[in-house]
Amino acid sequence: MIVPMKRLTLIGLSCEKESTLKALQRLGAVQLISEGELTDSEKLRQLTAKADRLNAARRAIKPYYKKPMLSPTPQCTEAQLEAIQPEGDALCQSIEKLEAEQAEKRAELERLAALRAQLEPFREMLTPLEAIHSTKYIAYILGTADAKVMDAVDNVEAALDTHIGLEAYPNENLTAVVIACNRDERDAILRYVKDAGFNEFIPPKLTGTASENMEKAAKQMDATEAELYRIASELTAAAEKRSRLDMAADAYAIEKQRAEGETALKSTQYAYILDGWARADKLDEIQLAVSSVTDAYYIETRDPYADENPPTATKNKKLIEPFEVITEMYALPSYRGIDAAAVMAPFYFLFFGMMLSDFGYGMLLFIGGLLFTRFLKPKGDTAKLVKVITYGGLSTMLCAPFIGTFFGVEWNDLFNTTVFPLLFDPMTDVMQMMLLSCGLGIVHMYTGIIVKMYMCFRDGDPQSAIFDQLSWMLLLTGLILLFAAPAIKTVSLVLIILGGGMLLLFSGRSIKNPVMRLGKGLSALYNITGYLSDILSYVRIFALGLVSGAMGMVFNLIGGMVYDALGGLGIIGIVIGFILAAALLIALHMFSLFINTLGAFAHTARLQFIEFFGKFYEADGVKFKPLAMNTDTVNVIDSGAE
Amino acid sequence: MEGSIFSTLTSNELGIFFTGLGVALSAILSGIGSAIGVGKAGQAAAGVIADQPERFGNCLVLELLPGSQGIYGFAVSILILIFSGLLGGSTESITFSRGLAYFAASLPVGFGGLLSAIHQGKVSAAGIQMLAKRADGFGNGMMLALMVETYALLSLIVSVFLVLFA
Repeated sequence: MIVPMKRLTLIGLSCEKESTLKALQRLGAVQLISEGELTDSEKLRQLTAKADRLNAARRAIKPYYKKPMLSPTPQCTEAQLEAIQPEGDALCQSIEKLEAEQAEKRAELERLAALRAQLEPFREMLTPLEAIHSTKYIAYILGTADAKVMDAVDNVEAALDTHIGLEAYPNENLTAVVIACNRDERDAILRYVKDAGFNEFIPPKLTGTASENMEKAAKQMDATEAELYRIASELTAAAEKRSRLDMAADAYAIEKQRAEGETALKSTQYAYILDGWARADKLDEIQLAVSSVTDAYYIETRDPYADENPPTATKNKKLIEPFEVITEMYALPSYRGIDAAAVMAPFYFLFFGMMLSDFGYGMLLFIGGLLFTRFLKPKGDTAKLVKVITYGGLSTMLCAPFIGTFFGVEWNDLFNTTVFPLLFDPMTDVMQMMLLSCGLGIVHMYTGIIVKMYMCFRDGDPQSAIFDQLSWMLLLTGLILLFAAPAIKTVSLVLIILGGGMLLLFSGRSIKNPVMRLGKGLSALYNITGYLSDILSYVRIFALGLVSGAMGMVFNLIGGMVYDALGGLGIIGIVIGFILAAALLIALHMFSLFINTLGAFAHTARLQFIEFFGKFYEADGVKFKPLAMNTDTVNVIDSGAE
Repeated sequence: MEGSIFSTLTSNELGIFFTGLGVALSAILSGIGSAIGVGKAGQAAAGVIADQPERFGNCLVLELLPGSQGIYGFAVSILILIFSGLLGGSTESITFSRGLAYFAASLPVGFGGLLSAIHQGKVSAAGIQMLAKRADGFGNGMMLALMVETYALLSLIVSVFLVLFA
């Protein structure tokens, strides 16, 4: 059902704002309303910055641990979450420091590698680098040149009519060159050789020969590598403690949500006004939460005005609650509409089981779902989805003896009986199975029409309920009876004439012009095609059941063939055949389970969304987003939010 | 069929040939369709996952939706194999006319699957791209793709009827 909302106004003292908001956040039952754009506050900015830093640190350690595929959601209390914040901060700082150090060392490593590469051609040169410095008359040019450039260097004396001292250290493909020349001519010579492709090398301020420096750089690189290794191992150690970082990040997220809520309040130096939507079923708890913090407050609540659009929150019995995730997948119900989860749940349960229709698959889903919920403790929508699948597994187990199989094996082969399937075998009694599917579909659709009738009566519009809804049920029932039970033909005809007549004459009841009115009635009658195609759409129950049965059967056949083929080769063949067939069967049935569960889930949802919701569902709800402890990685077990 | 190669075949042999053709066609055509459809959706999914790895699960489900046609075709192939007796039975009773009936049975799921899977793949790919922009678009994307699937299911049912009553 949809939770009624009250407009809440709370006035309190500014000095108690923080603690009051905290109490409300713990409860998670009030959605704050702000007038106009949310403003920024200094506190919010600081918290955002902090949360960003923690998240950056969480990203930084990601490469240093391997996340297990399936890990349980950690559970903790609010107090634990807050207590961990300083430790999380410290961890975050040390990770930031390590990261900065790592970046620095990496840059150092790159610089040294580049230096080594530059010095490499000069390693044969015995002159220490510090000795090569220009004097009053002599300038030196250092650089590297390939064979072609060397020709230019050799030609430079002739070309520029000058004299140079040339020392060359040939390497494999580059030659290191030291040119000593007249200081005045240095620029001209340099330009000349550079034009030919000469690479000038300005030696850094180093002492010792090139090869000595290269060795030194190599040693430094080794040291830096070791440092980097140490940093990586420290980051790995920090990653071990990542749960604390996650918890601290969530603690800051909670604080940030509160600060965001605070910006929605109107406050003066001494007092504040809180304006919001409150769950009507939690008003007492809200009052209790506020009064536990302070006795200086004023609370006022009122029902929403007709022109106000309160947010939608749904509340259902524990058994039905998981199905909310299916309705939400379509769209949230309008605040003044109907929460379809409860009416939809039995049909979803039944259709899912009929579509999967294999006891073994149902059992795997059921047990798997229970274990998942028990050990991994999922939260929010994931938890609900897992529960829906678990229910689906149970339903499949219940449906399978009637119309299904056991891991693709027929029950009769399994137990050596002839009574199974208890209802009929969809593979041979095709017509019955199709009729059953469509029959259930008609029940499903009628339920939808009845819900719509209820809504019409509730909204004080009995005419719509009778002329637009009941008329269809009469007409359709009459048509079905006409084919199904020809013996009571008169009853069927009366129903058809009654229903059809109502549609023809009263569909356009707001139109005065009789011709136009009849036209409207005729076009309403044309909708019969829609109803027929809706009914036919339920044949998919039969089709999907057939596919899952056929797939299981074929896979068993393949497994059997493998076993038979190897079984003829004596005892070793039997053993190998058994192992191979077992492995193959497990893999194939897992595949079949996955594909067929996906099909059953999606097509059951479709039958709800299109054929069922189409009859009555009003879906323009806005989600109720209360001030609450919304966390990313942990479950806060002592918060009141659902 | 005087002078054609068929004239040398018996009714039983022709029946077996057309039954085999039916088995092959329903698997081939719907398989091609699903391969194209899943392929299209898979490319779109890879693009989205590159930026948002956390969407992998949702993308995978959307990518797989056009894959069901191949399975429907496969199921019909197996049904023909079993009901005709090609698999684990005797083939003597397959007459020419029964062979043609099985061949006809493969056509709805074959062509229905081929074209619906390709188009469903396009819708799935679009849904996946929607998912990149809107995290809560999964349910909507799935529903849009499932609308196409209806017609593959209808083809499947017609094929099954033809097999069972051939």
